[in-house]
Parts: sequence; C-alpha cells; structure tokens
Amino acid sequence: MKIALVGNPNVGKSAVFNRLTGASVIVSNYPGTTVEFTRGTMRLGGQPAVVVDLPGTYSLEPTCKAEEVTARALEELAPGDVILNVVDSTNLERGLGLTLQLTRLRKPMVLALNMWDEAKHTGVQIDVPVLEKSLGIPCVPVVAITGEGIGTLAEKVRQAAVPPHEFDNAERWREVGNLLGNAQKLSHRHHTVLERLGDASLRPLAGTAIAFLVLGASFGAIWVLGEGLITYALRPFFEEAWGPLMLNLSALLGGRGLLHDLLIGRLTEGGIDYGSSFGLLTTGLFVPFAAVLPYVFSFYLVLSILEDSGYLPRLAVLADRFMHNVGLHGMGMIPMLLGLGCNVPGALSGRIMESDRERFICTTLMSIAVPCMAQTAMIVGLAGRHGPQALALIFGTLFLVWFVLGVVLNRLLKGESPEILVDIPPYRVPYFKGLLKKVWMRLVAFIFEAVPFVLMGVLLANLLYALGLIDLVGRLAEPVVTGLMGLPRESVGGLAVGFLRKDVAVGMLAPLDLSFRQTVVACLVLAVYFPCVATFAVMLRELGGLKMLKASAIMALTALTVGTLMNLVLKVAVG
Amino acid sequence: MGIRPGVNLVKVAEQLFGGPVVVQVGNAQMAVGFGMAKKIIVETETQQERS
Repeated sequence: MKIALVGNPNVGKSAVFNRLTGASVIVSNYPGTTVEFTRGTMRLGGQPAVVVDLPGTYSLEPTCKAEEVTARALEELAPGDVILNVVDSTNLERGLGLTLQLTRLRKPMVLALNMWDEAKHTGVQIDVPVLEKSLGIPCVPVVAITGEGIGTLAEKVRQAAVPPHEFDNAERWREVGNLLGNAQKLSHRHHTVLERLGDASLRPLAGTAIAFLVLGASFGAIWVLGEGLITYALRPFFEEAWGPLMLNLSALLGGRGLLHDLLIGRLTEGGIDYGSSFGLLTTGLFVPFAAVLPYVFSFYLVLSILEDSGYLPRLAVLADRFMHNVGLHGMGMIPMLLGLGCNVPGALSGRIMESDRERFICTTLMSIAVPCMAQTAMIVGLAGRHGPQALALIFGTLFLVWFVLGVVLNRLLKGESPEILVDIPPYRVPYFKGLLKKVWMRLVAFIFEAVPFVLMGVLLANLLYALGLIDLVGRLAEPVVTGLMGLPRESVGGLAVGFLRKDVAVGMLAPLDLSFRQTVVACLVLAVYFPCVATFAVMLRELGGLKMLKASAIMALTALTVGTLMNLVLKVAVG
Repeated sequence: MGIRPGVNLVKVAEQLFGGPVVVQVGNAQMAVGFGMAKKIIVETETQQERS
C-alpha cells in the first residue's frame, strides 16, 4: 500500500513524513524545497507501507514542474493506495480548495489538520466532527514537528475512506466557503508582540534596521561560536592528544619513508605543524575537523534558527528591489546566504528560483563570488598576516565581483525573470529538538562530503610534489600565472589543488611567502575560478552540461579578469 | 495561492522603489512582486462597508 502526502507548499508534509517513517528529510519553509519524490516506509497494522512525500501544490492543475510531479504521481495511484492530505489549520480556506479537488480522484483519503497548536493560538476554532461529516473522510488534528496526533493519524489512515461526495471543480471555492461557515469559527484577538514584530520586519525603515541587527547578530554568533569551538575544544585536542599520538606513530614508522610521509607528512623540527605537514592523518584530518567544521556547525545552527523562525522570507522582501539589479528576486538572497556555509547546498537551493534563467544566474553568481566557510578559512589563513586591510580588500572585491557580474549577466542573458511570489509565515519560536536534528543532519552530510575531498586533495598535493609536476605545469601556465597575475610559478600547485578543496590550497601557498599584492590576487583567483569539485558536480546535475559549460567559461574569464586587474591596480597602488 | 477574484485582502506593507507588496488573505501573508501587484485590481472598502 502506498500513502501519498499531498497538500499546499509549507504545510508541514515533510514533517509528517519524518514522523511517519522515522526518516530524516530536511524540513525547510522555502517554496519548492521538495521538488522530487521522497520515499520512506512505515509499518501500518503490522504490514509495511510505502510513504511518499510529494511536492506541494495549490491545485491539481499544475503551474510549475514541482506541481506536475505531484499531479502525475496522483494519477498513478493504485487501488488501495491512500491520499494523506495535509493542510495548515490556520489557513484552512486555502488548503481545502485542493482537498475538494482531490475528492474527484475517488481515492481513499485522510485529512491531517497540521499546525493545530498555532490554530488554537490564533483563535481559529475548527469543529472536527462537523468537518469530517461534510467531507466524509477522517480528519485528524496534528502538530507534526512535535509529534502530537501522529499516532492517531496513523490509525486513521487505515480507516481512510473514499469521499462520498465529489465536489464540483468550478464551484469549489463557494463550497469551501459553505463548509467553513459550518465548521470553522474565527475569534477576534489582539495583535501579539510577535505579530507586530513580524509586520515591522517588512516595512522599509524598521525592517532594514531589524535586518542589520539580525544579520549582524547572526554573523557575530557564528564567529564567536566557531572560534570558541576551535580555541577551547578542537585545537587543544589536536595539539595535546592527537599530536603526540601521531608522533608516536611517526617514530614507529621510522620517521621517514613513503608510508610515513603519506600518513604523517613532513615533520617540522620534530613536531607536527598541521598546516604544512600534508599527511592524511594530520593535515587531512585537521583541516576539515578543526578548521572548517566548527564554523560549518555554528553556521548551520544560526541559519536553522533564521529559517525556522520565519525570518528569511521577510529578508527576501527587503532585498527584492536590490536583487532585481542582478536579475533575481528577493528569494535569490537565500542561496547566497546558504553558500556562505557551503556552496553545495547553495547550488541545490537554486531550485527555489522558478525560471531557468534565474537559476542559472543565481547558481553561477553564488559559486563565483560567495565564499564558503572553507574558502573563508583559507582566505583568513593566507591573508590574515597581511592585516585587516588585506581581508577587507579581498571580501570587498568579491562583493563587487558579485554585483558587477550579476548586472552583466542580467544584461546579456535573454529573457525576463519572474517576480517574487512567496508566503510569509508568522514568526515562530523554533522547536529546538527538530532544529538540532536538522543541524545534525546537515553536519553529517558535510562531513561525508568534505572529508573525502580533503583527503584526496592532500594526496594530490603530495603526488604533485613527488612527481615534480608542479614545476612542469607551472612553466606551462607561467605566462598567465606570473605574467598576468603576478604570482610565482610555484603557486600553480596550490591553484590546482584548489579545485578539489579550497582550504587545502592554503597549505601549499603559505610557504611561498607571498607579498601583500600576491596574496590578495591569489586569494581572489582561488575563490573565483572554479568551485570545489563537490559544488561542480552538483551544479552539473542542476544546470545540465551545456549551461555548466557556459558557467565554467564565465568562471574562467572572471578569474582571469579579476586576477589581472587586481594585480595591475595593486602594482600601481602599492608596488 | 489564495488571491482570487472576489477575495478580501489587507495590505500589510509596501516597499520603497518598487519592491514587493505584502498582503494578507485570511490568515496568510504573502509577498507579491511589484510588477505583479500593479496588475491586481482592488476595490477599497472601509471598515464600515465590510461589516
């Protein structure tokens, strides 16, 4: 038996899915987060059943790809399959429009009245027995993120009934009005503080002030938490516990030899310098776990709070007019924000943009000009010693590149971008258990993605040195690397490894003792030229081969231009 | 998404320089891009007319 979860976007279908199947799907309230099927299983009355989480849709007449997926999936239901219709209890009028359409499919149905707690808080009173009688199907109040009512829901699925009454499609809104006249009572209540705050966050003056506060606090929190984890937990561990262990291993392996160099790398004055040792067990583990992971964790923690509190769509409203300059609408801000943590989810979230043109601009801009945590760590690691001016110059230039490239792409690419049309959810206090679970899932995904690539990067770096390829490739690339961009020939190795992982490239460039000018150019080129291979793979899948070729050409051209120009400008300015 | 002929809505916020308009339909708030919002024709009602 198959149970299909159907409903409007953002009603909590994925949360219901997680509860029923015990699976872990990320629950976010951006439109279009679920664009493919998600399948899971559950036991129903001792029998296994397949649960399918379908993309949200407002009507069975599809208006976009995600809605087509749902419409088609519903057509393909077999006898005995059940439609589990999830509605937002605070928005019953809108949700029931789809419900009445679903009755025309003549399949067994159950209605889950989700966000029941919020309905109570906002004065919405729903007479469930009356609703059940009017629709002829079981109706179950639930609060999916906490799990309340889910047990009852699972039971009622077994009592799913084919609706006795088939509602007329053209007249369905009038029917909804009739239904709700009997079953729903809205009681008047005063604006709560949260609601007033929610409205203020949308107004141009108060809203912008709030935005600066929120973003400032967010970045501050990320920095403090990340640094704290590194200084008080991870660095001490690596220096006082792991280090001695590795030194013992080093002695065991005789202090030299292929295996030793592979695993431990080069010792510095009898000790281990994680930045330059380049062993799989030293640099290979230090970089992802002690340098990048703490920031990825703190980033995702803060981001999840911003998501679940309902703030992000309001930010999108404020940013919308500005984003129009680069051919996107306000929601395009979100992939950029996500990209600051890791470019992979940044690339995936391009899906929240409706048109191909927007998705292309959004993803390309993000991968070129938005530095992920690993890139940021690399930039700080490499350029930090040249002072805050270097950092300001690098990040400032990246922002400029983002804007200028965005304007150029908007001008050159044919077509128009659609306008923003998005739900603004009420401000909610996040459900912390669910939030922590989400952070954990994102962290685990990052570890499984990042660590293999870091290890590969370290391996590749060692290989390049051992085979003397750095010198060879360096000579070939010299006209560009040295001639145009002013970087030493040896930096080619770092640039090559940067394709695998940006943060490993630091270790290869640091010993070259680059000048202020060279450091700025190197950081910019590394950040801009190609995303790490993980992002590259995702982009290839999201955009397709042809568009990816276009994007890659843009990346290469931008990197060349920025590197050359910055080299020139700094030569003139600083010498 | 809830904006249909005949439906009552309340304007919640507007932006400078042609940003989105936020409206409330029933219990749901949504942001509508400026270009789209320009095409939606509404009749204003005062509080008295509504009751």
